[in-house]
Amino acid sequence: MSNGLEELKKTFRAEAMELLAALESSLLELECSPGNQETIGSIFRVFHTLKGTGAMCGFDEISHFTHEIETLYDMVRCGKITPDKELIDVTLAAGDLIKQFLTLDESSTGELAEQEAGLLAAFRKFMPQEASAAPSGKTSGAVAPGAPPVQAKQVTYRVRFKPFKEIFRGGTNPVLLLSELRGLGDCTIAAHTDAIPDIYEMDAEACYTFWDAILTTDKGLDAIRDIFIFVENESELKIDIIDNGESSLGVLDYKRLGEILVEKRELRREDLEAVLQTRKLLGEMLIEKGLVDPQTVEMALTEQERLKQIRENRLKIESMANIRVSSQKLDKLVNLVGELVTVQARLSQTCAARNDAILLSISEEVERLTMELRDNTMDIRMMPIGSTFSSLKRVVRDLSIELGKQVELITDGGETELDKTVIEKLHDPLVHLIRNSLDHGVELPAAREKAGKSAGGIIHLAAAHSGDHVVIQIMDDGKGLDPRKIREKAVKSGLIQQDEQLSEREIYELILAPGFTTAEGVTSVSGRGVGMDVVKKAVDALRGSIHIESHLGYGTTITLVLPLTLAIIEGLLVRIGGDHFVLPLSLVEECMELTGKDISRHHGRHIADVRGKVVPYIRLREHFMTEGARPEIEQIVIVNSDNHRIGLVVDSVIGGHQTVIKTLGKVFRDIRGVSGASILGDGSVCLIVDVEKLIHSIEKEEVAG
Amino acid sequence: MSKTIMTVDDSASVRQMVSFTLKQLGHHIVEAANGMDALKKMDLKPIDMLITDINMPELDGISLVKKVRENPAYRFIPIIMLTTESQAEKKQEGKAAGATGWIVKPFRPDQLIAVVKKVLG
Amino acid sequence: MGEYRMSESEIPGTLIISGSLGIENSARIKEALMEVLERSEHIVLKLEKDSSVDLSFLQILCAAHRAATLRQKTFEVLGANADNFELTVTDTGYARTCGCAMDKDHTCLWVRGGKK
Repeated sequence: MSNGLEELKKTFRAEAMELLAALESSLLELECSPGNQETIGSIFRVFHTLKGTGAMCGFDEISHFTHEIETLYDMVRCGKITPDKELIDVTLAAGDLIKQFLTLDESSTGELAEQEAGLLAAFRKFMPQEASAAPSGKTSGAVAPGAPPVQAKQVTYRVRFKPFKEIFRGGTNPVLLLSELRGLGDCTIAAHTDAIPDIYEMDAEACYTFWDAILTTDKGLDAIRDIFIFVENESELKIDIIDNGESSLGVLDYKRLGEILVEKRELRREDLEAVLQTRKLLGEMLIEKGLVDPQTVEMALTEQERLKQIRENRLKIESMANIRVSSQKLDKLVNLVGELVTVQARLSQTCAARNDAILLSISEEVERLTMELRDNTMDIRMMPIGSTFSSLKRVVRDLSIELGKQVELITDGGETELDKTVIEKLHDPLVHLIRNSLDHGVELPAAREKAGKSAGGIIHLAAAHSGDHVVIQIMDDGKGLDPRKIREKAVKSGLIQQDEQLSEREIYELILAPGFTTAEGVTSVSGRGVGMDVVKKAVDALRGSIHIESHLGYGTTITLVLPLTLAIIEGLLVRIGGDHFVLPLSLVEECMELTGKDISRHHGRHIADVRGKVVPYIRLREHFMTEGARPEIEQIVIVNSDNHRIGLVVDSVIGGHQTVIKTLGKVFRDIRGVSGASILGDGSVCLIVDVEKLIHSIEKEEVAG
Repeated sequence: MSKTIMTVDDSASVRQMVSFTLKQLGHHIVEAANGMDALKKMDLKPIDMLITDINMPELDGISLVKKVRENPAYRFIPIIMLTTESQAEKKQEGKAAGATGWIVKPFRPDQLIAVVKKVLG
Repeated sequence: MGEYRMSESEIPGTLIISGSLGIENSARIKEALMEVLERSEHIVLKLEKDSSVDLSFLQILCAAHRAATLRQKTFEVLGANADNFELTVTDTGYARTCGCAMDKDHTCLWVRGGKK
């Protein structure tokens, strides 16, 4: 074999030498008659042939070198460059270099690199600006690196190949194309023979057959198209993706036979529906009625079976790729990681103080690993919200029947992941919100039609990530909220004053207030006085927020914004005496100073003046009975709780602090106003203030006292 | 199964490259330097497939394809043309003349093998 | 390309056929089958071992079977012996488990295994 290769190179050398001799005489001719198109053409062809044949015979240097010269002479040919003596000189030199390439041993061609670079640079000078700026690394087209895009996914295609009748006469055997198709992956092929006529009307040399194939492959669409490249212009080639290889999230819903046939346009939907009236195996019935031929039914059944198999296999693989772990173990892991994070912070602090370069670099490495471990651990706790969504579908179904309404729940973003605990705690509020939408939002079919809407209503439930939050929206196309009615009810129940000025949004948010209901009567569904305030409380407990938007007559949108996880809190670290506390940053509005002067101005009453508004404050120092004297200048952290602004007085504000929440032991569980603890970099403990509970307990005390 | 394939090109190195590559597949190769030469040789010994260049002296590739298809013995054999990037329109012209497909020059041995397998099995 | 051979056995309507039964000879094979169909009620096509078939041949068989069915004649193919007959039936995707809509008598040439 190597002999053959040597032979090939020898032949190329001889041929190239001939070409170069011809080149020389053409160049000399060009010098005498610079405008001669024929001469220019033959020079171009020499380089073109050297490039192409060189590449095929393994002379890559020659192919690469001549590629640029070929491009240049193409421009000369098109009149973009006028050949002059200088160009002819350089080209002659190039011819000499190619000769050297040919005669020299392959191993020593490296020595010519410098000469090659010099000549190429000389050639580039003749190039018009924009052309020479183009990347020159491009070698001949066919030798493009054959790196297919990484596409490991097994996609299932439905391929319909209907060759033109004359295909045999072009020398193509379509059966070979089918074999190639089989070579791509798991493939089932069925021929359609219906078009074959009676032998008396037949052209024996025509192709009457066409094919349907179901192919599962990871090679991609282009690989399939490439098979038919020589005949695709004249033939009918249709490739549809019937399974994109993506996880079906455990849902095993393959297409029904009838759907496949209608989708493939083998059968009209009306015909299908007429046949479905009777009750027999669909395939048999369709054949009996002569609507579809048996082969087509068989192919559709194959498709169905294939999809079923693929999805079942995938499910198996998926379940093998996953392991079930009890959530307790997971919680323990999160706990340990939390501790590791704190210890690591201590380590960093200690190392920084020691100023030891080696220790510092180790500590930095530990920090990086810890953060990665923390993110990974949090990620393990993430679950898609889809399972909750599907349980809501049932709720909607049952409830619409009960209420005599036609409501469809459309969900989006079921794959959105959030912390397991958040998902669990979100279930009840979501049920409540959906029930509300169904009960109060979507109207009865008759009322909807009267309003010019379709009889069936739609509730759209969507989840999506937005930064480190998850946004969940419940949209209905019902009657919307009536701001006037809400206002009336709110005034009646004493939530607002008769003349209080409120924006539309503020009015909507009144429905979140405890004890608020606008329902005309009490139904079994909602409106028993347990209203949206329950939802609001639950969402608050998740450190989330609710926004309501509505258009009277068109529907309501309720948006929940929730943190991705409960295990980490963004807090504001403050100090009181020798103790540290963390306030949830989501509640903090602003910080301001509190001096002795401010206090005396308000005669010792716990009131601060925030830009003209009176804000009451609580002295955490007193509440937590901290020892020691308070500093001359204190800080008030203004927090927003239940739409009320309250100040919390601390000694000093240290700054933002991201922390892992650790639950308190049994002994401390009932401590007022503290929801958890965290450990600081120096190892000391700080408490996480539960602002809402704190304020409530103080309110109660005051009422009592 | 061993087949007889004819390669037609005025460049000896292209012919040799095609021959060298396809012999590895176990095929028998007949070389011809131009269209006239090809017609003569395929009358002497029947061939199963033809691979021809387009630009050749004496009889060019497209005319060769037309002539070959006129021969009842060669109405259904695969014919592959060697084209260059700049000859895109030649592909369709060749197909109209009766060619089965094409390979764009320069090509690697594995590309040639793939095309031969596609049309010859 | 090769030649094909066709001869009639002592039983009228039974053809013994061999050789190159591909596209090159398809027109002539078709003519021969038409001729036999004209004059026989029961046609049997026996493929000898050295027969080599392709898609065009299968199409002709299918067309002949159609013609026979329409004229209340029978058409049978004995191809199991032939070198590549079964292989071609599979490769072309012709093999199927039930006949086409026309195949009321279940005599389809391509039904392989499975239910009728």
